[in-house]
Amino acid sequence: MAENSATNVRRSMRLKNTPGLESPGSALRHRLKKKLHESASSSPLPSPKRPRSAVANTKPPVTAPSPVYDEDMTTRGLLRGIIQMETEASLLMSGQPALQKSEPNPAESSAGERTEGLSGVELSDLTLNTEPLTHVVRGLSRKKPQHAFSVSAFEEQFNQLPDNTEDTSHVFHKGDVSQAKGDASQDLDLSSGSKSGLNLTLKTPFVEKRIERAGLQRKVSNRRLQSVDAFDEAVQRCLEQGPNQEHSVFQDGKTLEDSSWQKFTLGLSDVTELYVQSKKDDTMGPSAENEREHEPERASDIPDSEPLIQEEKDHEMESQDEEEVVPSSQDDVYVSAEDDIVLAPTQAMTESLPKSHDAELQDREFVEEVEIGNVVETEDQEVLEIEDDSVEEVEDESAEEVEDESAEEVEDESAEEVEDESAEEVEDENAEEVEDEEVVEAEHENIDTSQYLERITRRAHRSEGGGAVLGIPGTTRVTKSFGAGLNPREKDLLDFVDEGRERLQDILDEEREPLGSPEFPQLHPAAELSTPEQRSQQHEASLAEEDVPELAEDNDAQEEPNQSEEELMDSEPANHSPEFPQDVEEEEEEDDDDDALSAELSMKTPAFVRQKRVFASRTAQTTPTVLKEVNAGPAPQVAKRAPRQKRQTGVDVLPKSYVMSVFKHFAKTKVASDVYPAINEILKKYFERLADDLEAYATHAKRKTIEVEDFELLMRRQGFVTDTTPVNILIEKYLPMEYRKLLIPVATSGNKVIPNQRR
Amino acid sequence: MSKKAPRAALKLHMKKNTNIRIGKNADLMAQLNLLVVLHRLVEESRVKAFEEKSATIKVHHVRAVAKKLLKSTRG
Repeated sequence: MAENSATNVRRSMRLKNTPGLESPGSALRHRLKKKLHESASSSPLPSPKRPRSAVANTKPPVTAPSPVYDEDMTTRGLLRGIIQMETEASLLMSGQPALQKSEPNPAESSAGERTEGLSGVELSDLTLNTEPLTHVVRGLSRKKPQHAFSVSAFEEQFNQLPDNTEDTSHVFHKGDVSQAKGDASQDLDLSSGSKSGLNLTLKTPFVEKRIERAGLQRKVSNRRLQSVDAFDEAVQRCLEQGPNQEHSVFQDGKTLEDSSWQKFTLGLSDVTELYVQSKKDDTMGPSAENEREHEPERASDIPDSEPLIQEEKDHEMESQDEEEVVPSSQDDVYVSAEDDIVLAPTQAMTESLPKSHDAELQDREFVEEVEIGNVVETEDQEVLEIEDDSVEEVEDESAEEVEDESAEEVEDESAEEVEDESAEEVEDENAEEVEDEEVVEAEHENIDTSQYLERITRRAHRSEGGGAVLGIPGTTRVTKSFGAGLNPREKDLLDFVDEGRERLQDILDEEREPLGSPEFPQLHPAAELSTPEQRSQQHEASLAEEDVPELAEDNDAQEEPNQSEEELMDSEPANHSPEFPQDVEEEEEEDDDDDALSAELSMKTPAFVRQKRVFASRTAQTTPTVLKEVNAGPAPQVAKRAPRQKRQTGVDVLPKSYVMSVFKHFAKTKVASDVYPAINEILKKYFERLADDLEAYATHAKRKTIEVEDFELLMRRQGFVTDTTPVNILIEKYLPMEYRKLLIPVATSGNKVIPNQRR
Repeated sequence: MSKKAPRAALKLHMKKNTNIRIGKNADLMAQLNLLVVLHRLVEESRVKAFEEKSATIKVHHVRAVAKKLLKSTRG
């Protein structure tokens, strides 16, 4: 301690001129004391101790530092000083830096410079006087090494003091400070004190309390922020990775699916728009490509939705450009099996085996989009080329996915052959043929893919299977659409294909219940059954043009599982026949049987939209649907009960609008609308109980009607009404005016009381 | 907000099981009671929602509160 004091003294000596004190140590002590007192008095927030201590301390310093010094020297005084210092120190900015500053500062201030750090002063005093105090005072131990900082810190603070002192001095120092400003050192003290006071004042008492923990607090907040950011990043990464990876998103992916589906739809919408605008739009290509790009990201998210949507789009879209673009993009971008599979059926017919893409269903989406693109682009001339490419790709993909590459290859080869043949003919008919061939091949592929898909599903790759399945029908349809004049036919074909897809999907995707269309269940069996049949048929029909009757048969068969595929096949050959319009018409007519298909046929967008909706409804098995069902439930029940009961007990609860409005009004925050059924149940139970209780009350009063007083009793028992809250208050609070009038007697002029009271 | 209280519906509820009659303005009191109870339900639900740091009141919030509330408002 002696050493410390000596060092302190030395520093103080260096820093400032020593007053005329006898010994440097004593002088130091005096200064420290002064500062301590001054700071104590100056500090605005200090506990009452401070004012007292400040007052007490200020007085002595003014008059005679020695007595103060003596007082301070006592253990109690020292402790007091420590406490004051500490509090001030805590008041100061952040604990440690301030403490550090304050600590060194006091040491310096003792030399003559003001230091906010009372702790420093204390330290000096303590060191001088008592060792144990040093231990008590935190930071004292630290102060020594930190003395070096004090100067700079103090200087900085010193510079800032003038600005702060003015402001704070008025506010905080209640005269004590002003008193203490007498001396220069006091000014400094004040400034520092004010500054500290400033700090203190600026900072709410919170700071005081938390100074010790300030670091922790800050750290925590910082950590939180980081964590949040990191979390967001991580989340994003996960999301990004999610689609890429074949997660079992299929099941989980409501959100993912939605997102992906939305993406998909967006892409599709672009496609549709493009399609509407122009059949051959170069933009289609890029859009399709973009869509495809999105697909990989979304891969595995929306297996079914996309295929369906794509299928629809395929029907609607007729743009060869897309097809062209699609194959190119496909080749380049999407090597996923899904894409291939999807493409393959549609394009397999014409093109050689598609690239051997990884049979990953992730790219289903891509494939689907590609198909759509294909569909959109379906235009006679380029179709062949595109088809070939797509077919190749699709075939490749499908092959990979299904593990039966050989089979696919075979099909592809056949498709190629077909395509080649069709390629020779650029006319619409040829295109049609090609399409038919393609379709046939696609069917083959579909069969294979479906089989594969089935296997896949067995593997629990539902998403993949679905995608593959979807791809197949889509592709077939796409191929169909390739024919220039086959727009209507294409639709039909596409419809068929879509159906097939859908069916396949259904088979694969248990989740995909046939919410959308009854076709799906048909598709499943159809896919299974038709595959072998299709193969044979496809081979036969590939090169043969079928007449309308075939189409008709096909149409009829649509509803039948087996025939679904056949229809596709038949439709394809039908397309070949020059009687396309007739076939189309027939198909359309027959398709009408199929809700989705017919819709598609008649109107492109509606069908597409419908399927979208259907798909959406299927995929989005969320509360809204539940609500719809729930809401729809009572309605039909009511209708059924109408003849029976005039009163519909099922809907007895209060009107939803009223309840929800009340709820929202009370809640003042957002309220999910699906809380209404829960509220209904609650209210129902409540009403029952309420009625029983009221009845009991009335009976107890030997009355036969439930009166207002019964309710009053009820309220009291419920605790809403107490001795302090009369019922009328509640009445005024809740009920509207007209009701209030009825319940509460109001005195009006003329000695009238409303309502009329006869008592 | 003052909405028209469905007096008829309330009366229906009250008279569901029993043949007891309802006084003149008793259904208004029923309305009042209903509002008060609903208000309490909402308050509790809101607190619960805040616990989950969601600004919206969701169904599970309400359900969790309902049972307790029903018990408390006995009489």
